[in-house]
Amino acid sequence: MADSVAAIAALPLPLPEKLAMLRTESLTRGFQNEELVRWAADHPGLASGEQWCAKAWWGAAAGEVVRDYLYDPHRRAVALDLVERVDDAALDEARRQEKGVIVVTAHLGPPKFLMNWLVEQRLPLLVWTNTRDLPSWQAAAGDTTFVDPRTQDQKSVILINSAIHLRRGGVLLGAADLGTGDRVVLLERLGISWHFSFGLPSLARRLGIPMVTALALWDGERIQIRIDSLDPPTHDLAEDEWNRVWIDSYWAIIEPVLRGSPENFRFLRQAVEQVAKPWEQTGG
Amino acid sequence: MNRETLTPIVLEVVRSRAVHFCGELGLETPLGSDGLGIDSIGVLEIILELEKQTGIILRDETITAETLATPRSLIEHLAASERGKHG
Repeated sequence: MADSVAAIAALPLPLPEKLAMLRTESLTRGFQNEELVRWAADHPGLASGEQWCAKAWWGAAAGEVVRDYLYDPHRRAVALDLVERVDDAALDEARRQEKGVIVVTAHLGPPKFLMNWLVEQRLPLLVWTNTRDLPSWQAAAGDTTFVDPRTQDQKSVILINSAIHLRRGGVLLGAADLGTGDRVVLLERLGISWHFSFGLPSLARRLGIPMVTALALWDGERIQIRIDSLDPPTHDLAEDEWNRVWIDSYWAIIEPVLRGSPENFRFLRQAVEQVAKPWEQTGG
Repeated sequence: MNRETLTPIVLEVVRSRAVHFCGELGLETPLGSDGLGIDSIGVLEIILELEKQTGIILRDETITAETLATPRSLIEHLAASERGKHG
């Protein structure tokens, strides 16, 4: 299964054609992915049958092929050309407040795509990300700073430098759905255990920084950039209550994606790991 | 604001966030898991409260793990930031 994705990725064809080939491949491969089939059977309210498996498989495979392009400085523009629609008025509006902006994303859609799209917008950008799988050319280039919040001894450093960056009018991008921060809440939603980190909302609450959510999502075989304002809870709430209300607002944005587009489902790690990662083979 | 002025302020603010620490708080007591057990959001709260109480606003993204290691390192960084503001 993994070989078929790598083989398609290596073909001398335009990227849209490779994505279309993967769609055909997904019609059979999706059902052969034991992890996907088992997961769908265990979550009948969310995942329904054959179409769900095919779409989820396609999203995982296409995401890795696109990542192969993103990690190559000579081909990344081809991947970014997949963007068909951009709804980013909320980001512009937040930036006009001149307080800095926290851009909260989630692990949905093609991996690293939103980050790369934001990098191209030439914003004063600080990114919380897994730096271990960043290509070396990207970690060292441009105006964007990448930091890894998983490093235990650096968590405080990252949080405080992020606060300073925001106060200087910068933009901070991070995800709240992986539980890599120090204060994490575990919630059961849609039959899945979710770990939410409170680092980003803590900065927003304490500094009065506007927040938006941002997602890069598959829309057919093109990509939509979707940015929504994330109105903060009223400031007089106690911290725990503030965080609960914040999670509800965040969840209201990501839940329809989880329910409506299996292509954008990226939480099934074992299933994704059965799909080849061409960028690992090209050393991107 | 010099080190002597900063010291009681820093110790008091750090103490107020070290809710699970029962020992004696000194200038060399580590803030993290090997000492006071203050997590990253707690350290952020300490920095913001110190800015509020001292009027010293940190403006450069030059904080390191060493800066945040102990009350003494916080005092040194605040004092240096104050000197930089006037220098």
